[in-house]
Amino acid sequence: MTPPAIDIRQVTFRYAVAGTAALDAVTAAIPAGSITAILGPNGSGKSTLLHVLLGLLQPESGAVHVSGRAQHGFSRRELSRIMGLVPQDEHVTFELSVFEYALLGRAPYLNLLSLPREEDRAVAQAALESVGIDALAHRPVTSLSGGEKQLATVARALTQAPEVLLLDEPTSHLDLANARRVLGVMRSLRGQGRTILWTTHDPNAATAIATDVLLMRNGRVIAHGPLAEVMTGPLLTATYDVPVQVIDVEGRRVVMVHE
Amino acid sequence: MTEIRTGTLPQVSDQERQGRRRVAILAVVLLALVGVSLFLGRYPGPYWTPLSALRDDALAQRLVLNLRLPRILGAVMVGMVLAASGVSFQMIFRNPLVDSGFLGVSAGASFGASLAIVALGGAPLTIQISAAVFGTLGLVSSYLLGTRIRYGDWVLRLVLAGIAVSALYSSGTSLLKYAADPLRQLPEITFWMLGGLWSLTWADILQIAPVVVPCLLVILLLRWRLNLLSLRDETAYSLGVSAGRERLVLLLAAVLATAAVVSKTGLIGWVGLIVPHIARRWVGSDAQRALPGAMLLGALFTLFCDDIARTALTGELPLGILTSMLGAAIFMALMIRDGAGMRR
Repeated sequence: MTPPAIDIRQVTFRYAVAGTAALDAVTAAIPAGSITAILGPNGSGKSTLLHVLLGLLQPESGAVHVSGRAQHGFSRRELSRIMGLVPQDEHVTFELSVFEYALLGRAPYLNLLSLPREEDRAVAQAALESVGIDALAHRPVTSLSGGEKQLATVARALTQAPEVLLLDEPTSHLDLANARRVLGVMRSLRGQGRTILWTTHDPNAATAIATDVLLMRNGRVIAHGPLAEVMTGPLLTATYDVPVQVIDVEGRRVVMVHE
Repeated sequence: MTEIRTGTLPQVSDQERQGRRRVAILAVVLLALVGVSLFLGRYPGPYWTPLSALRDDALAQRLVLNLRLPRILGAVMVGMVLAASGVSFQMIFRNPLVDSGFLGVSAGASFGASLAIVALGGAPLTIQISAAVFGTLGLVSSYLLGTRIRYGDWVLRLVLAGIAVSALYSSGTSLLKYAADPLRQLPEITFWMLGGLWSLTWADILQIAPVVVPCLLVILLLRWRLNLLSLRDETAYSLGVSAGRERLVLLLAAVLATAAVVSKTGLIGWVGLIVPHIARRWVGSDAQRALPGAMLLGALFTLFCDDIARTALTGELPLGILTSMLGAAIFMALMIRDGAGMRR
């Protein structure tokens, strides 16, 4: 069996020293090649968990292993070649073109004084093609619509050539059609041996593309496993504290809240 | 392992090629203006020194070599430094509306210079050092205050902090002016704050070049990193960028270079704000082109204004007045036309 892409062991994190734990002994092995959705109410620790995986936050106790190696053993640059982030709200202040923006994803492979080379440009171009926005390459990022901008951000992260792609609520600001487009791109990326870990507030988005689901509440893991085992009425009810029903519509799970 | 497909080699886009061409054009135009400026002046007649005078007139030769040439080089350096710091400040603080004038650097430097003139004896070196120290202090206090303000987003907080810190320093400067000897010290303060290059000599150029040239080189070499630093911290971190350290190096280079030139020339306003805007519009926002473009354009703008300053009237117009006048007019025009690139 291949080692998990990310192995989270007993991770506890607090924002304030004496505060409540934002992550409370979280343990989960994220299978390599999976699309794992992290679901949970506001404040359940989803984004905090992504930030701990990135190394942006240091856990109080516990450890994270990435591709079988302790995360703190990686330098920041090494880690950024393995893990890419699509943040919740990417804000680009200057009018970089989509291509120039995607090219920034080569930073982990360039030292301080070097400029992007021909091969870096080729990787950025391939990333734009793989999310289907190569036609927008020369438009300013600032002029893109919400959905296009999100795809540009995904392309920028893909340009890092990461094994693991973290996405923080990638569809939360998008309308139905754009959300569907972004989810479709995420699904297509998995085929290339990449592990995708993303947070979402939309259980139906999770059932649409996820292979695995991690349910969280108050910094604790409620359940973690393959979609079919975890996306059930009782577990979702325990996660969200509202009566949730999961029904089968033409072979697909649909999550509904009871009034 | 992750396979990354390398697609078709991307064509360099027309915009990019055009941007590069324009940077080259700016360089050529700057060289031409430097050449022309050598002949501009009020000797022997108004406005123009004919070639024949340069051949036959020993005074004209000395004038061109010992007064005009260092002054022209000074203008080029000042313009490059102010524009390069403008681009750096704007990208590092993710805010197209800041320059050294908005972040307490200019107000701090003015206070430092006034303090040196009034209380520390007023030797040129003391003025320079005091201006540099308080200029840096102005930036640091604006930044620290910006991180503590609990109102608005980062862009707004930083501008507000800069305004508050600048106001504080300005009131200090006013106090010093009030206390200054009205015959000896006050005119000196006023002239310093008006800004101008009339006093620049080869000795001044040789003093500031060892600071300015390495600082500009550092900023130029790190120009692609400016793009990375203009992203949010979370993203920069995920790209393996040590944002804190890189920002510190670039800010230090920008502030040291600015303080070095400003301490010699006094306040030359608006170049750092307006030039980067126009450069981005002309050669593109990617700092790979925007930074050299802005430096060349800044040198052109400053040299052009200084040519007017020293030729237009029999006396000398303070350069700072000209750059502010032109800069503010251009800024208003840009804001009205399209919000100065502040699309959000």
